[in-house]
Amino acid sequence: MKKFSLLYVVALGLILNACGGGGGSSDPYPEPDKRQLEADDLQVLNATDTYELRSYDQRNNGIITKVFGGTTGADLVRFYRERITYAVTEDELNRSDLRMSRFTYTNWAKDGNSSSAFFAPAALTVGAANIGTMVWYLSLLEREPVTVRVANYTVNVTSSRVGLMMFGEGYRKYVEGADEPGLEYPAELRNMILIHEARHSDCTGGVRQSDLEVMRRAKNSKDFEKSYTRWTCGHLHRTCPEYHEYEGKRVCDRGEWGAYAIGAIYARAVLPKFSGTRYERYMRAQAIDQANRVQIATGEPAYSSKANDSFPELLSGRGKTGKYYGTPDMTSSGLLD
Amino acid sequence: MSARWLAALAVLAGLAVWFYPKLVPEKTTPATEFIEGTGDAPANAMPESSPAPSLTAAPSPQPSASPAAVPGATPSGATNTKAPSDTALGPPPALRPVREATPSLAKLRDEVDKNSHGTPPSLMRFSDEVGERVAQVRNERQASDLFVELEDCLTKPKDKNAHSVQAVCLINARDLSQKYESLREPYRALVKKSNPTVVKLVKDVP
Repeated sequence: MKKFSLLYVVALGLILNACGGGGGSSDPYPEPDKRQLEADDLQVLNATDTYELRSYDQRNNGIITKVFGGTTGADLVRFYRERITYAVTEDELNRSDLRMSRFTYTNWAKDGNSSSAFFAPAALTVGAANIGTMVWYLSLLEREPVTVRVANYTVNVTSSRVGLMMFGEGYRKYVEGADEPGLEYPAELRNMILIHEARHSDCTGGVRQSDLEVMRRAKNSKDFEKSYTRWTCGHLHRTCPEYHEYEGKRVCDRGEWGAYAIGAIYARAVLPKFSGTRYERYMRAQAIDQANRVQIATGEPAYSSKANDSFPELLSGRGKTGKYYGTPDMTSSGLLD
Repeated sequence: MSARWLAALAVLAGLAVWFYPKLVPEKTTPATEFIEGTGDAPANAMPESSPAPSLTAAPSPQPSASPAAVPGATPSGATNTKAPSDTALGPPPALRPVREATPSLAKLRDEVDKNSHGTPPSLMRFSDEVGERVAQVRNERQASDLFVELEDCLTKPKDKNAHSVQAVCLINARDLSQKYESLREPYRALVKKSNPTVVKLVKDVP
């Protein structure tokens, strides 16, 4: 059993440039502690206007109730809390103790075009990462239980819903680089992130040993994507289809009710709050972009207008080829065999 | 175990990482580097006649001149909304022609490469800029002129596959048609002419 260290990461060829971020101690608008910011954001989530939620719910076949279990802010918070339990910072995770005897099955995540072990953006500013689901997958692949000791927590990673979320420098209250200090992002922008990430904690429909074997055998991410079928376990994102603006990039949901769809539902439901403001323009762009990443394969040829069902078909419950989407499955399973 | 390593793995797994969009353009990029027509101008690139950019801390209730505050500028059916700059996230956006402000598909794709799960900042700035154009409309003629620009964005798009950009144009055309009755029929016609995917994208966006 060994403890994985930064040296191991370097050995894998992963070089990530730490990104700038928070201001100095003299900053009159210092970034709040990430856990405090999460707590503040959850208060805003809790105070979400019930009228807005109900209104969106009524216009869209009760989708808020189906996804969040109700139409109050408390329901949204409950949705999040069922899926995310531990909030840790990047620094705390770097100092954490995560022990595994080996770490062999990572090719499934490798970029097929990259010669290095991992492709890494030059300047990676992490907002929030559902580390718990990631570690759970790794634990299944290596066939050994994993315990993470981080901050004051001892987390036995036994389920995708273990709920270990890392908050990075990109999870911010204040706009970075603004001429005038104190410009704030709306909490709803961050809350859309929280809700999106929470959905990644659901292993909807479970996963089988045969699926894990596909992951283990995959030569790279493209190979993995060709053979894997359990996308709803963790609601992993997949490559966008032909004719999509992000064609070829792994930033779409090809399955039903994934993290983009859930995030878009929240963004659209809370949009009326910002009516007539500049926040509305940013939130609209987000609501459009996130929904645009819902591209459910229908089996029709790529050039066909019926090739993919998108967000509106999902919301309406009926696809272009007659597929029934019905009620979203918000449950989570684990290893099925 | 490195947090960044796990985070990178999560990115690659298409699982779980977001980065925050930088909405404020790099200060080191002078506006003069803007090449006309590329749509890649920094968001604070202002026309010569525009007032100097200023910032308003959010959510300061300090509305600047809203359409309704300008004598004779209130169109029939216009709603008296708060000024758009009252919750500024950055400098007021530039007021360029829609086509000039439109981010290219290459730009959007490049931003997604850098920040895979987040909404491309250029799309958010485009939404801000076009929204500002709508907010600055003072009369029917200006509304009609802007509507034509938005119509072009949908019927003669720079990149036909950039649906999110077209969706931003359509939603702003809708806003104009809600304020100016004369644009209601043209808006209905525009919806019929637009890519159905785009129409669906804005369907339930308030």
